[in-house]
Amino acid sequence: MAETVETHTNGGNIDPVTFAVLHNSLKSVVDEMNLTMFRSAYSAVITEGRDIGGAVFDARGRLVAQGESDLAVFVTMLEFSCRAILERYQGDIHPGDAFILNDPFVGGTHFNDVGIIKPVFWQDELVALVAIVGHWPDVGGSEPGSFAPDATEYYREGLRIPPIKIVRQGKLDEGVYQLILANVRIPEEREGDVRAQLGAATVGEKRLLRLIEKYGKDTFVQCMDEAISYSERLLRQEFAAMPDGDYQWTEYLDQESPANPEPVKVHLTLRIGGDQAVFDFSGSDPQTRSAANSTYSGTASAVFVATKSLFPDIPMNHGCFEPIQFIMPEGTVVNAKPPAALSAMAATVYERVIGVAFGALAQAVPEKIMACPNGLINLTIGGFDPTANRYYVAYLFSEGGFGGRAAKDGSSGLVSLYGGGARITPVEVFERKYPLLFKQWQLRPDSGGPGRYRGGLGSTKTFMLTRGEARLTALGDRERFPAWGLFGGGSADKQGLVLNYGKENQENITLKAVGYVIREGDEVTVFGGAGGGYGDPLERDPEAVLEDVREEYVSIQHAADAYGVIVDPDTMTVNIPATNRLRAELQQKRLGGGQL
Amino acid sequence: MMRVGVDVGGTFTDFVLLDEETGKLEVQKVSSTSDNQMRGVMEGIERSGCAPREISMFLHGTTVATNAVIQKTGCRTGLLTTKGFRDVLKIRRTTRGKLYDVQWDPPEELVPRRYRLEIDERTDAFGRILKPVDQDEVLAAAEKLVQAGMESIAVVFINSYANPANEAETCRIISEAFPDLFVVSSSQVLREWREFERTSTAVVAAYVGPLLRRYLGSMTAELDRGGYRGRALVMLSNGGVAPADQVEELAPRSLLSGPAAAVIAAREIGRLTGEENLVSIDIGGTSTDVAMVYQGELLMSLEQEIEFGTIVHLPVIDVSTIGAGGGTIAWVDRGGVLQMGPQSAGADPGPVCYGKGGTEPTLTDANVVLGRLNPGHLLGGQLPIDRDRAFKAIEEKIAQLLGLDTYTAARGMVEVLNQNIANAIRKITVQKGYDPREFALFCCGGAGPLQAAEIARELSMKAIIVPPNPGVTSALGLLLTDVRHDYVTSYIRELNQVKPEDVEMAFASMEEEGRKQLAADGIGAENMAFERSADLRYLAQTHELTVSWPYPPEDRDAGVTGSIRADAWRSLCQAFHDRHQQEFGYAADLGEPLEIVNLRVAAIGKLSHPELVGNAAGSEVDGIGSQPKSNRLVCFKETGNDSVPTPVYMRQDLSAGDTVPGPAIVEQFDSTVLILPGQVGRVDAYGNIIIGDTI
Repeated sequence: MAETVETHTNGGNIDPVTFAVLHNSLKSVVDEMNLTMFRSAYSAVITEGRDIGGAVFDARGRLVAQGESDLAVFVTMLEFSCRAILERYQGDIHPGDAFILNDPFVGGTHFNDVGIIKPVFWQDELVALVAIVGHWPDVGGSEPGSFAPDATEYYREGLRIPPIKIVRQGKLDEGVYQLILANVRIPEEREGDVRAQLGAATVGEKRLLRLIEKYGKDTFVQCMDEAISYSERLLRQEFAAMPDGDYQWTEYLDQESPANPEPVKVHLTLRIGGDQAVFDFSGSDPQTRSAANSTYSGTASAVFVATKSLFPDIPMNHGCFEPIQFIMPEGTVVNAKPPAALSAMAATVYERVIGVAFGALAQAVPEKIMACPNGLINLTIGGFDPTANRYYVAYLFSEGGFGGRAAKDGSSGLVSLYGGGARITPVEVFERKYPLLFKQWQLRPDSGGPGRYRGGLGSTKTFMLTRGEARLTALGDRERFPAWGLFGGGSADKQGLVLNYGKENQENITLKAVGYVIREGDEVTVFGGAGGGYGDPLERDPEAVLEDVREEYVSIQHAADAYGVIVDPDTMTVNIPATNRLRAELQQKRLGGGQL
Repeated sequence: MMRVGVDVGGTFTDFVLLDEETGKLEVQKVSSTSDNQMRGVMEGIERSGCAPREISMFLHGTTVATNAVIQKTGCRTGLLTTKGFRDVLKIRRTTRGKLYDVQWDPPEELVPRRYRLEIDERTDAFGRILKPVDQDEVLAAAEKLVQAGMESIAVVFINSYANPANEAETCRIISEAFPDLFVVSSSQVLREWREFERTSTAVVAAYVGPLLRRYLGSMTAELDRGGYRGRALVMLSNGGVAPADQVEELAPRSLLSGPAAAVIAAREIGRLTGEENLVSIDIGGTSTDVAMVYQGELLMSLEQEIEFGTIVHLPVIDVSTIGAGGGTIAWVDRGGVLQMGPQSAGADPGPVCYGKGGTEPTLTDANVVLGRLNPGHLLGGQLPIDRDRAFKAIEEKIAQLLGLDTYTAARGMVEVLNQNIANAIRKITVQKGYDPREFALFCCGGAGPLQAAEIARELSMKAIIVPPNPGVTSALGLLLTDVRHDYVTSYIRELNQVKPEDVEMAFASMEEEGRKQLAADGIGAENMAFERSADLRYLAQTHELTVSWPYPPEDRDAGVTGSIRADAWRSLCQAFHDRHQQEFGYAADLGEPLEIVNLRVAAIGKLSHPELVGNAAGSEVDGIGSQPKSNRLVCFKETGNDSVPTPVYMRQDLSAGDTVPGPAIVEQFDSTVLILPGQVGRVDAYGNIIIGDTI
């Protein structure tokens, strides 16, 4: 280890101890902003779900630090927003200003994720920016909850807020504020969210100023510079260690739009050369006429998240972006232009970009990667509760299985990689607040992709509407193209959405459902995503398969079919001779299949 | 008669013995016996020369439950859940422990899936039973778990907070059939909504319950054999104590036993010294506990996370723990940045300077190199110190990699660690709207008094309090507690729709339960007290704040509780708005609708406390009463990292009224006090050293 350590002399004038101290303090500033935010906001998605992200940027808009629980998707995209503000408002940024935005074309995700960005001044000089994003349950548009997966243009998805001042030199701009509130559902709740976000940004500003006061502006700025070049050095080392070459991977979305069931291609050529990487998306399909699109900043963010997840010890900041270049043809699904709709970005293209990045990186660093993880499923259920006599919008987030890895099975029941500290809302909270009764929320046996190291399991959730009528809208994918395995590992079970599953009136309403009307007594079943397997399942240790059978992660039938392992149901032991025979047979069949 | 507090820590088992006639305190330390904590406890009692029959009250802080959870050595536990929900324990709240890391995995759950069985029963969110439990199904499931060797079963059904009948019936059926099994229902330990938090709490209780029953059972038997007539009391995470035989209650509530007792001691010593606002830091070998006392009150938290994803959702003293202690290892990461921890060399092999095989430089090694710790020996000479070895380790593993000289590297190690602790203090103060400059820093644990001076200076805190025996603070705290039982009922209603008589009934029934429990504990009615509080939030929020619930003033005196009047409602709302303002920096208009979520009662049985007496030998007149024992070279930031001759005092030579101008070192058996240039220490009448700035 000691040989690879670089001496800390190229970092400029800041001494290593001050750097370590100040760098840790920057991270704790963001944690403080977040705590303020998720304990005082109104939106359940923020307070229970923790669907937020905060960060500190330098005066050039470069990401410097994030906290412990921020959604990676927000943090990596906010840099684009900060830079847009610095460009557009050059010469017109003053102490006490605060900006609001949700524009996916300049670093937003979908309209629901609303950011507040606040410049930080030291003696009239702009020294940093603090930013905090939170998911608002509604920003207007055609559907309650603002998800409109079948929208062909973004106008149906609610209010687009380009970077705009909401606070001018300490004074709230009532006009802007009222314009926003007039365009969203349940505006009184959103007032609470705005207050909490502005409060959190102010906490961040104050704490940064105290740090500058203590260490001096120059040291503070040097620390930010050094933090960035430190991460850059580390990531360059990693790329340099990878074999140079082109690595390809292709992924598909289930469909282009409701009108066109053709799959949509996301294609990546990863070009590793020396200590840098080019992510070239040439060959990806044109942007869609549905909400399944991504923007330049969204696609870049997905690449950063995928890459960074392989190197957990590198601090996340702008330095992680420097060694990476992009080729993203305009007007494609990975770099859509207005008026493309985008509300399904995370659950669709964003995840496919992570997928192709993993698939390509797997060829360069197979020991660090995992097979494909589950895909996000977001559901909104909106209706009128006749007993409580009120309208409601319930928002159901998803968790799922991760992919198998070079030496370990995939984990089950986790929020997505880019979902950071997000959490699901408890069943007991859902049932108390909405006319819903859950029948199950449990792991689905046999859903994990088989492999030498199995993929993590997906869950199955079933809930019943107990009163009135409601409209159901889903954001989700991987009904046709489930999470894939690596190096011989199998795919995970498919995702899906079924009404009255197992009953006479069963109906496959699919994860593309928009405003689907359900009635009292209807049961909705969500087949959540699992992870792909890693390595050949016939090479999985039979004892590990047996353990899975005991834990009911894998059925006895699936153990035989997918792993070639025969488990005796009476003794719960592996029948070794029978297993050896079956594995040889399956092996033979594969070779035979190859000849056809 | 003697009152005895015994706290078991990772390295030492600490004793504080109070002679009830003379008020004299005696302290004792023996090595902890990790295989069976009881041996160390009994050994220490014997060594103190105090026979169990001379003990009037035995108070105990134990890590049995905490260790079992962290080391996964609890008993074999089964879980019965509502059909469809056996994986709540596994799925948790779906969070991940690391933001970017595909190799990260959550810890294994305490009950494997095969021992999580489902019962076809259901209660809805409003407490209506949709499906009662079937006796045969429950028996079959319990039978299966017993066959598989389970020692305990947790029963957790959806919505049992709204109506616990199905859980209670299930427990009754199991206990009747298997009387020796440890059975616990979720509504019994926590009648509050959110199924994961309730499941985790109940499972922890079941997982450690039988273990605690065995441990405390054999300990009380041993005490009884020696002639002890009282009831052994065990420290709870909420700052109170409960009798050792109430294992069902203790099981989920004793996981912060030791740290909670230290905060109790901090509060009491703060009261004596006139400091109502304190931050306490307890720095041990591997970790630091940080807590706060505000206006003489303990700050409580509603939840404790024992390790990632294992939660006990019960009121606890708000103690945050970070991986920073004497054994914390310094390292240079591959990007060339100095890091401290979280890995620790622990007690074995320990720091390099112990010469017991440790090779990685630790905080203690840095302190030895800097001259802050005695470079020859520690623990009154029992532990020889090898300074050269420590110097070499820091030189090779830190200084050379950073391009620094060894002293600067050692200073850097101390500074990074202090900063980590300062950031933890900021999180509980600044972040919640408290200004650390209005707080004194109470430091304890072996390493606390060595780090406190720089941490307090970093945060501009008003003073530092070093108690007479920093290493046995938890054991002292045990002697200063009361019996405490917490009760909670979920009552989810908009404030303007609340029926006062419903609320009153809920409070009264919890108080009745508390009264019965306290009577069973042997507490007389005159020593019982009840505190009501409620968790409130703005209607649309999902996060609650706890505020105390007003009694109607005239009824409070009469001990009769009536319905709540309009002015009491107003003061309740005001209290909520004020707390919201304090914690989050803003409050909505007073007209904003509020919602009640939970009603809480704390039933307190007051115990008589020893009066900590002032030291009669000293005088209240300032003056340097004692001469330093020696001088040694110590390195300070304030002297530009130069080592300067610094007087070294012995703590036992100091008496009340003495002042010790910085820079100075004060050594005592299990701790070393550092006073910086520009600071001055003053010994108060209780033997505390109060350190402040000279300017």
